[in-house]
Amino acid sequence: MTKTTPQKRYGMVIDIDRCDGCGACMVACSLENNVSVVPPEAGIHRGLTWIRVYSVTNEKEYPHSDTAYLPVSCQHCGNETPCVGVCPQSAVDVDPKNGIVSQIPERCMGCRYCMVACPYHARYFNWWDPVWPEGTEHLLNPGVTPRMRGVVEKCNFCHGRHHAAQERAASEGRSEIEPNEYQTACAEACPNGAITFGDLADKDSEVAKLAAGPESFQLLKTLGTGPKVYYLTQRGWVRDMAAKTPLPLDGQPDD
Amino acid sequence: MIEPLTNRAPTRVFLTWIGFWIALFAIGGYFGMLCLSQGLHHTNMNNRFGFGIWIFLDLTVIALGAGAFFSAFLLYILKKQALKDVIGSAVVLGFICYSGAVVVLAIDVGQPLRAWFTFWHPNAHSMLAEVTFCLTLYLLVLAIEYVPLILKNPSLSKNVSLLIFEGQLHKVVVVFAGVGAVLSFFHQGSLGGLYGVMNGRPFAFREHFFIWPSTFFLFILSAIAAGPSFLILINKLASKITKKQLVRKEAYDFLGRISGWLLLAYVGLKSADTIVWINHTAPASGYSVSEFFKEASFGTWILFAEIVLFGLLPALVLINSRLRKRPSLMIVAPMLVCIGIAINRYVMTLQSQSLPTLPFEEFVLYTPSLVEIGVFGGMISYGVIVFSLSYRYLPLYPGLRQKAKT
Amino acid sequence: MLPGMYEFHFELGHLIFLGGFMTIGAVIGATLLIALFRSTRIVTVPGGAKESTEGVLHHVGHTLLRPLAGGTLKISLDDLGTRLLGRPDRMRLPGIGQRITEGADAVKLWRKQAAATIVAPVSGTVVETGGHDDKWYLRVLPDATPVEGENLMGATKVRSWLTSEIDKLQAVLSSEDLGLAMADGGEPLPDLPSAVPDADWQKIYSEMF
Repeated sequence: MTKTTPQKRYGMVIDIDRCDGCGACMVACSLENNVSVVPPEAGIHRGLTWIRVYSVTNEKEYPHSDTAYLPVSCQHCGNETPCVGVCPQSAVDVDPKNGIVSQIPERCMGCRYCMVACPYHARYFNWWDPVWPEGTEHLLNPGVTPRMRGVVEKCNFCHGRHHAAQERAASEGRSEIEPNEYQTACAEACPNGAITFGDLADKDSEVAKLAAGPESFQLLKTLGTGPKVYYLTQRGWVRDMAAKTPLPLDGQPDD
Repeated sequence: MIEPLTNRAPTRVFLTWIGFWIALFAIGGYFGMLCLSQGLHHTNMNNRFGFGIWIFLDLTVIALGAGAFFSAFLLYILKKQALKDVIGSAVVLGFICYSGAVVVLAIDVGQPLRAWFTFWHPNAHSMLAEVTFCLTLYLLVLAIEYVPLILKNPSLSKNVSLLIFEGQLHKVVVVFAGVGAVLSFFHQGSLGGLYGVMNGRPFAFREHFFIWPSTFFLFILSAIAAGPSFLILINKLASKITKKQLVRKEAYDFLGRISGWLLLAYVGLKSADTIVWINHTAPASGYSVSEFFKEASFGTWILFAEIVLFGLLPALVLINSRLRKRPSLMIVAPMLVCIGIAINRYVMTLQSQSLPTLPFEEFVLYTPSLVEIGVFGGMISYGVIVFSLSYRYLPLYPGLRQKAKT
Repeated sequence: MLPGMYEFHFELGHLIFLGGFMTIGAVIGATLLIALFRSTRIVTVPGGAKESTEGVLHHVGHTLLRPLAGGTLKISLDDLGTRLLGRPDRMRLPGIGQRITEGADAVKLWRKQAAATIVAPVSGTVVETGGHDDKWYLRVLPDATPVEGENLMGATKVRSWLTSEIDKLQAVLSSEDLGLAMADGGEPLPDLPSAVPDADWQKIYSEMF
């Protein structure tokens, strides 16, 4: 088969130095994508959230102590995407037209192999039947299908919004959507403007410029998975901690 | 009414024995239904531990069940007649291991009713798709190999057309032995490939040969090394319980020798693989192996135990014909082999998930919930029940029947 | 697998993968069907590997009874019987499902112009027939177990009986004045009709079987 080269490469740049860990992105994401509410006993490792804000400290005493917040969602790996090859029933898909890695929950049987394979721990399983506390079901987004119990879900760059933008473009007789027509909920919700979303393939876009800048880095770049989510920071310790650097090949850690 | 074979335990003894296991099976069944009807939150698995004790144990029993395809291959294709004594029990064991694993897998996946999707739109690149195909087809082969045994029950063999069918099945058994060997080969391999292909998990990821990671071959080799050992163990256990010599010494000796040499080859290749992994594969993906073993629960001791204590040591015992003559060593060494394989599957499944890949993620330990242990206990008791019924009603051991006659 | 699935394209990998598995599935299915089909008709295919002599019974009609698992018996010619017939030119075995009765004719074998009728060593139902040339066998489900009868003997009695049978054979052969005698206690030739073509084999067969 001949794969068409992606016309678009959607990606994201997250400025860690602007993130204060408020969690607005997580809330906006849950509301946009109909992420269900899990019982309190779920704990940190059984929750459902497509984007998770990690808090990291430099482990130093005041006044030298410092904290950084890293929102981590699916990194939409562009190279040997770890979750795609492992799914037995083609329920994980990389769209060749825009590089978005999407989970197809309707096709997922919940074997969780993709979760094991994902180095970013960015995939979430429905351990419970999905529920919305009474009254909140009115807040459900009609453009996104809720997931059932026993399937895996994850960030898909708000595919409901993507579809809506495409439909709008099609109704106006355009085959392509304009950059300002498609924005993810997290990027929109961030009060500090830490998240920039857009087309990395468009060299003039803000996201492409930021991603190409000297302060940007990718999580676990050495794995060679080519994530399309970039992080920015001016703080050296954050970069040293978060970006794994290649090791010399004699097997010794370089610290 | 189906009658037991002539020289079996009295009904009362048998009912007590089987009753205990049926009770355990019922508990497992209840827990399984709980997971199926309410969801997998009854387990202790979580988003960091997508695979839990069930996957680890499935991999282990399937590796141990490899004795079935390997003995069938040796007996029917390479004509190693020494295995005639154990082939019946090997087929039953294989059937138990594989069917049990499939049932536990059905509970393990979140939407078991969608399992057929794999056949409808398979991902040809996925090791798990390969596992699914091989497992399904091989279970079919095992069931077909099991049928002639069932038809040998004296009550059933009064039915002439069933007997005729049994005779005809026996004539084509070589085809099933061949097909079973091919399927099992790829199946054990793809189970290993499951881990070796995970380029996002440096602990599990391994160098590739063509499209297969090294774990593909290591899993095959370790399974065919452990399968004969497990056969020895189970048959000796059955002999102990029934107080009968079920299998001739030559068969045990042959199985032990095969197991020992294959294990020795495995230990050699596994060591080479580990050295490449430590010095090349892991550092190339940005991780030093010392990071993987810095937590006490998964220290380097586990690597040593897997390769030396439960690998090299029993291999050296089993290849020595003098040591094989000692009955106690012929129990201890196969036991070490089986534990060693279990450690390997445990490490590949659970240690690779305990370790975080993100530098700011934490090391997570997981302990199975009562439900998970209960379901597994149910699977074990299913195995004991099937094996006991097979022993009671079917001529599993050709040597034993003849002894009873004279 | 089917076209029309979202974002699904056939690649070489799919063809190899699915082709391989479908072939294996077809082999399993076909083999099973062959076994089923064969069960419904008489077949003659080569017999199995060497069996042990444990539990084997001899019948005075020069047949052997080997117990098989599941209570069936395998009936074949004994050593002397095989030598007497050599390679039969033609044979008629009972059909699968057919009943045979102890002492009654069960198998007919032709060698040169002579025909030998082998009597059934046991009463029962034929469940399998097989073999070719001198390797034919019947698998029979006996009517009654354990199998016993005055014409059947275990390993202990066989030796003296066999000696008397060889004496009998020698007597028949020498009465024809062929100038041929077997060494005392010696092994008869593997294919007697070829070695002694001029003997009246019809007479020998009626005498011996």
